[in-house]
Amino acid sequence: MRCRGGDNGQGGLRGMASIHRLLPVPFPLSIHSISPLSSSGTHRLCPGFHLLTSSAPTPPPFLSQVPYRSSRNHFPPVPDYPANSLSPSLVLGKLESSPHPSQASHTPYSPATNTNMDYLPWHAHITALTVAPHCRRLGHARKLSAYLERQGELGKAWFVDLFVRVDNVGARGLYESMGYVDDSQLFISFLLSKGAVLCG
Amino acid sequence: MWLTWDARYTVFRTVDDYYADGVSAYDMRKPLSRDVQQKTVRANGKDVHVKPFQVW
Repeated sequence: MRCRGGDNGQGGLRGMASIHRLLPVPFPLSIHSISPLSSSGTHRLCPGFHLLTSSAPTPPPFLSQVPYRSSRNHFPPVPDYPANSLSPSLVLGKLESSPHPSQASHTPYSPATNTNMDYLPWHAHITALTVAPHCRRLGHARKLSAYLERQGELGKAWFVDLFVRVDNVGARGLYESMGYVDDSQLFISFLLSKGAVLCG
Repeated sequence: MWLTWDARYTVFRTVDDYYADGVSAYDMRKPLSRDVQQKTVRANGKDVHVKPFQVW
């Protein structure tokens, strides 16, 4: 195949490099951003929004994929989705504040002097957070909301808020239990930084 | 191994009839490190009722 840079091969290498830049960039903590996102997780068309999806694990095998059992399959076979097309979880959020001025608008907002508790100062808002049914109880929601909280910290937000249905007991339990951070990994990295050697 | 304490989400206010089917919503908040004195949250949020038009 003839490449734009000539026949010395370097043009082909440059072409491959540019194609490689278009591929999804892996995100830390094994979260992968997908095509409409830049590498920082910000939506390209709407920079104020943060939209993040986690990487898709291998879906469980469907009956039509299990070998040597095709005679037991239902007919017509159960339609199965392509392996990498379904995002198991998604979070959408933004940093925002109320458009209405606070009652003490002549001074910078401070929780100590604020008299209108319904005024919304600069905060991070979780617009939507959803996890596919077959990927629940795996830590997706904690990881994605932790990402938004980190963006809030970087943006000097006062708090993170969200709306949840009163009858959504599972989500309420999740948010009320959030905040316990298992720091065993931090402890191991601390030992490693002090020269410890892990033995198998 | 060890668990470290961090702020968790608590109910800040209850929005009555927020959803289309009449179910109320909890406005839950978690203060970040800028809110040192934790004054953007309150303890009795489930008893503070607001209407949907009061919420932005």
